[in-house]
Amino acid sequence: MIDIVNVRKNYGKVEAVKNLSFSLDRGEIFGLLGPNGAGKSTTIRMIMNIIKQDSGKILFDGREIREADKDRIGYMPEERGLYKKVPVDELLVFLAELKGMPAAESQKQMDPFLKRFGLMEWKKNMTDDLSKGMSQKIQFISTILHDPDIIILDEPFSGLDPVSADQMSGMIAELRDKGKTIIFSTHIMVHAEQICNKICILSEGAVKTSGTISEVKSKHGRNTVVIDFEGSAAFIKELPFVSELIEWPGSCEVSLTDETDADQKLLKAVSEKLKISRFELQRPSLHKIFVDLAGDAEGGKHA
Amino acid sequence: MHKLWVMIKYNFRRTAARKSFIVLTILGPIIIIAMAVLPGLLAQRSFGSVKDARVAVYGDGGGLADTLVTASPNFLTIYRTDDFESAREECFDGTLDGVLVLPDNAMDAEVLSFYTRGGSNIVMTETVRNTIGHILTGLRAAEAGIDQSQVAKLTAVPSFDIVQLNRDGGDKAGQDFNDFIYTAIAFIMLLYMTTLLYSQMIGRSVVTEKTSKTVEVMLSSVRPSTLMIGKIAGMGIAGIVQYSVWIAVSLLLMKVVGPALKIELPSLLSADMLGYLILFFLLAFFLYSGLYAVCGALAEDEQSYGQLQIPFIIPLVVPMVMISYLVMNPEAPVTVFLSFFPLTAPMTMFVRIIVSPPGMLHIIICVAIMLVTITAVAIGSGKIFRLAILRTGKSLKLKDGLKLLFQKGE
Repeated sequence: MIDIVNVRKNYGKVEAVKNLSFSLDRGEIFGLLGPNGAGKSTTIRMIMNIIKQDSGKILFDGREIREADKDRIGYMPEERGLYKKVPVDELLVFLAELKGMPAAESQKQMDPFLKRFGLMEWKKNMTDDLSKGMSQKIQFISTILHDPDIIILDEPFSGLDPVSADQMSGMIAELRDKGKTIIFSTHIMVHAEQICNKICILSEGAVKTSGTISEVKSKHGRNTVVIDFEGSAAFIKELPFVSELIEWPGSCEVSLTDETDADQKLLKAVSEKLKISRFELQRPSLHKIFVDLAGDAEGGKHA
Repeated sequence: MHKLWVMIKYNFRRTAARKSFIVLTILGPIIIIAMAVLPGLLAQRSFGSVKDARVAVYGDGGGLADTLVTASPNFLTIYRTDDFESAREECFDGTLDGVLVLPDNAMDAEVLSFYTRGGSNIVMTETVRNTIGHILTGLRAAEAGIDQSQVAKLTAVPSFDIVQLNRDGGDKAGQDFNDFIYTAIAFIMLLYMTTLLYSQMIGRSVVTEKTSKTVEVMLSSVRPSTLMIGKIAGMGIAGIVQYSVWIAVSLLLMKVVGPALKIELPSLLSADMLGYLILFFLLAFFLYSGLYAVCGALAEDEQSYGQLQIPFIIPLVVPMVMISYLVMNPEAPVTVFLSFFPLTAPMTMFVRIIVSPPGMLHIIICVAIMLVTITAVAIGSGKIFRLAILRTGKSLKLKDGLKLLFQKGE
């Protein structure tokens, strides 16, 4: 449905996007992942035809993307905002009209969405009256109200409480089931792992890895052990066969070197010092892959 | 085109829904009428306010004092005093407006001293001077054996029936210059204020779009040019609607207010003059709104927007600062130059049309220069707007805007 082919974009001397290529199919949730400055927003803006690529092609249904294609895309940017001092329904009608949906039609279509997000009673209120979470939900509704074929969501869950995040997550799954193509940009790897079929990790404007989650994990699979424990696991990173340790309270993810029987050596070492409730050899989490690929410095920021 | 129409409709609706727009639309006709009627009203009533003036005369003045007391008109009470100090105190109390000191040779004196409070009514002082001067002239004439009525006839200053020349024919009866000048200045002020108000509104709206982060959502639906034109056209139409309401209601009220107050309506309130007012408002608005939209796109916040717009406020203010020169010298080379220089042309040409109609050729040249400039500014500001609107971080300067203007590609 959308093909990005060898796309490049420079801002002055800075290469924001370097020879980027990936494809999206109908009914797919595609995770565009990467740290700040990786080129995600630039890529999305090029897909939205807000800025033009310096070279390469962006194809929509096999042909070069056109201005009119904007009407078939719904876009919720990361930096969100609504016009102030406008009634909610008037704003939704205006934004849908800009996407080609007649005012009467959008008036009719908005009610089920407003009800679903518990915002029906706010329909006639001014946008200034809304809380941050409410504004975010209104912006999500404005993104999908005109029934677009492609939906681009940039960090849609940031700032939402768990209940609202679940509501939105459920809505995204329904949209996928209806055959909508969704581009989902996030820093939160747990969300990406739960929602996306395919992902592409960008760093410094270039693709570091892409494919289905399973493919990416296989590609970057190394000996990784997840341990649930009681005590302090800090000593693990000093062990000679451990390459990396990601620690949370009560659990950790340990990456092992290629040393023979490293997992057995680790089991022996930790059972001497910790009370272990789980010791599981598994593929690395997306979070781990992201941290590895995006670089330690950037990874630290987004962990 | 559909999206542009949606943008225009939305911006018009949002502008017209503002409280400030509604208040100004209602107050506008009242302000216009006040501006048009007040000068005439003041001219008609101002001297009547001296009817209660009280002046003391100190000194005999060779018999002049008694004559002044008996010959003083109704609106001026003159009485004699021998105590200068208490008369002085009465001036401070406000029971007396002034003390006239008459020396013995008052009849032949070239200068008489009139003591009055600082900042006292200039009109009152002038009236006392004229009245006493008139009585003195009469007395001197009588002394010289000349008949008083003959003196009045000899010294009478004729009043003027002013006829305003029109280069294209159709000379018409005009107003007294003093009444006329106030109305002219008032109209220029109106043109200046509305141009500034609406153009700044455009710029501020762009800044708000940037700071509230709505711009990216907008650009995911429309081109930057559509966003900018939709905004300018929507708010511009709101401006035209406001002007039309002002003028229609004003004309209607004037038909009632003028006759009710028995005031001759200013000749400036003619259909063609009001037509020029709208024309020059539109020319000024479209020129300045493009420039202010660029300031909004370059700015990062309200504060930087305030700094960026200063260079464009200055040319808008120049005709206001020079208003008395322009009015007094409508055909001076400086005035003619300013009436053709795009940034000052709308205001200055309107002044020329009001004060001394320059002929259709000059008006057409001015409008043509404005249209060419507006087109050039629209193209240039459209490009800068497109490239600057999504920039974040440090606020750009006007020279950065110029760099963007000459930048190749996107």
